[in-house]
Amino acid sequence: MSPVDPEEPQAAGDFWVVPAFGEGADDSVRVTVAIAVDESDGLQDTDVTVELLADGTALTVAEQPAAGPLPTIGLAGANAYALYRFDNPDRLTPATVTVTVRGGTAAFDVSSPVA
Amino acid sequence: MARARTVFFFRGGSYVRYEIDPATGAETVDHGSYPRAVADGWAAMPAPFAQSIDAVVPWPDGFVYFFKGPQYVRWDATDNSVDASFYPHDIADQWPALPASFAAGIDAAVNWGDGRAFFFKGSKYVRYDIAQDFVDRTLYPRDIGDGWPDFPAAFRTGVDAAVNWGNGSAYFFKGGSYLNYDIQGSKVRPGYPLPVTEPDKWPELVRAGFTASFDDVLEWPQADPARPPDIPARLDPCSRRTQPDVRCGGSFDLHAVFDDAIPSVPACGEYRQYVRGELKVGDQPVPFILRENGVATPRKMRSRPGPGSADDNFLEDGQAAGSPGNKFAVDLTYGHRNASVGNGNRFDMYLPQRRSGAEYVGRDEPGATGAAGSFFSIDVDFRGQVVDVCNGGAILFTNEWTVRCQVP
Repeated sequence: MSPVDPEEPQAAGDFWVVPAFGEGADDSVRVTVAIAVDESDGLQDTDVTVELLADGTALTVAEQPAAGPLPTIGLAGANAYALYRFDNPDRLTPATVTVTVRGGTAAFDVSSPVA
Repeated sequence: MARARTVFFFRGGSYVRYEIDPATGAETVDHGSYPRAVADGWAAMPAPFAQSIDAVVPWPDGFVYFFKGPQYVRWDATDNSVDASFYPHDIADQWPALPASFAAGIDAAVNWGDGRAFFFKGSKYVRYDIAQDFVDRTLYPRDIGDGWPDFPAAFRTGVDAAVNWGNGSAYFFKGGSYLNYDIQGSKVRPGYPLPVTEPDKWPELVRAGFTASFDDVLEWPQADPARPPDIPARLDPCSRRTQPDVRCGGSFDLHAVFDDAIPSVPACGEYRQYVRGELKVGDQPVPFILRENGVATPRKMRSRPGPGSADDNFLEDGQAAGSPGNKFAVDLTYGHRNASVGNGNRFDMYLPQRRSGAEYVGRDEPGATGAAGSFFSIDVDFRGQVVDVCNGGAILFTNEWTVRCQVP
């Protein structure tokens, strides 16, 4: 079962964040975290961590952002993106994704569809 | 194309909303709704001003000034608000150019539409330089009979109300009579004064029972683009580079000019920008958290709707700062005149002043930035609109375009 994409961003400390999911190859789950930023924030890969719990198990990170500044896309505001891939050899159902940005944390329940 | 205009007639504790269609000449009143109590229709009005104002006049910066006795209220036509912490306030404190006799109370006021306003009190009047906040005290107060020599005797002793109709005419009311004044020719048109009840002249007022002794008449401000807005101007839907880092995106300019002659007030005109579309980073579709403030939670940009959808999925691309205490306060907000940075953002400016400037200039450079080797795809629709915030956000202009760019 594919996890759902949360509908609403949450505040992780000083940053609004929201994850999105994608099917990864080789029994893995891709998680992309969008982080609303200001130009001056200059988020680096080390500023962000993401944990994915599936059926009570913390999945292992297989890929994470490359060292250095996170890629960004700007409209009126800007979002930085942290792309992760988690190994999921047992095809567990993702339940919770926890995003930490510079010490602030937000947890998203991704186990059931949002009405 | 000329837009319908609105004029308000005030008398006692009531008012009538008078609609004018310049295209057809039709003048109408919704008789099911008017006359209506000022206290009901002007919710922000301080209680003393909901009964029998003396005078009201629109100002070029989008404020409307109501006068009663020695006090006045500044009404913000852009959001129908009054700063209750400051108003009502003494005329004498904030209108130092007015002679003391006028600061004690004003009978009528009219914006002449050329940078001047006239204030009337008894048999006297003053000419007010709006830009300079100046009255030439060597000339004014002056007898109405001297400055307006073809006014009939009854009007030389004072006027109840005056309004610039915005079509080259001004109307002066006294008791149950009125004058039609040719602004360009500086003369009363032949055949006046006439009673308000003269057949075929003010039938809608007669039907509303508003035929005499107006407190004053207000031509409500509105926004009118001076010419079709150039939005977007200089559209570059895609430019990209891959070294030394990756940049991928579009660029466009925004330009609108508003008329500046009562009833057209630049402060009423604002730009709004909306977005929808799809983004990818590293070949993964990604969400985008819109820059919003004054909301519990910012929203995500939405995708293009599917066939048959009733919702176009456009959401505003940045909203005005609504709460200075919000640490997520937005300062980059396309087109909102009340953006907290004022004109500090060179990509989003009203010239010469943000509050009242007649010219809007903006630039947007939506795009992506990443290390060499990054993959991005941007496919975003933009909708630009010019709106009249003094009249319910009426859309005066709209256009849509797309920034579509991909790298590598």
